[in-house]
Amino acid sequence: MLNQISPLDTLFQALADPTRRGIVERLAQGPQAVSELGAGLPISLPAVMQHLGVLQAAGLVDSRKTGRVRMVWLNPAALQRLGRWAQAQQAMWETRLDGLGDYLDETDAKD
Amino acid sequence: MDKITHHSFTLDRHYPHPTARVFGAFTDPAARLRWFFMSDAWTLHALDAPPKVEAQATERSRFSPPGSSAVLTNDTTYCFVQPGRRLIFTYAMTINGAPLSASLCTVDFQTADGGTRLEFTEQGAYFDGFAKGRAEGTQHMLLRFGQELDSGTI
Repeated sequence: MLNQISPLDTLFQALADPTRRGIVERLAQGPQAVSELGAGLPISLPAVMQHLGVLQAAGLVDSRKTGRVRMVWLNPAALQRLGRWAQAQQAMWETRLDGLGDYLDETDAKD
Repeated sequence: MDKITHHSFTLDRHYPHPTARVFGAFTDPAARLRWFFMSDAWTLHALDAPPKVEAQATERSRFSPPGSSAVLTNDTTYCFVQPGRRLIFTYAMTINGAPLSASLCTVDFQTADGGTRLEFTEQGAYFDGFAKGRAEGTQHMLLRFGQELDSGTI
């Protein structure tokens, strides 16, 4: 499939938003309860939840609900993946070589 | 911060198509536009592609990741081209003008199992800059990303 989104693209997209970068920055200091995190941000709690959803989908944060409290924390593996260009480069080539396969399949009939 | 990481990786693919076709698609400018430059969600700003992939041919491109205004460049120079058999090229990348990596790539095409086995090996020097320690690394990453992502309109 052409135009597919690679895991790296998802990470870039998740961090392209300044509010989400702010959330990641806060979580860098340690795990927090969602309510506590929301209290420190100039946006509504539902908006915080929405941003956390995007960050979680990108694998940047993890969360768990204990009783009535939902804790969120950074996923160090995702940050390392993001910070290592060597791995980013490899991910780019994985996507490209898959794209080459798709291209070959799609243009097969025309040969 | 300004640390270089040396790394190499090999990717293996099998395509159920003749070797000449796979090599052709890998090197043909129109085909490359589709699978190399448009196969992911990145935005291509400029592409200066050689009419023919041959030794000393160069390919320059500028592009941005999805949702970001960071500009990356890729300058590729072909070292050796053995049609239908092997390609060796180098490429250097920058992000917002800062060095990102310099790599040497070998792509081998072999007829195998009724199709083509493609073996891609990259050996590179990467400006990783990812400090050890989670908090420090995170801060550095955010600083770097902030600079990259905020450089334009975001």
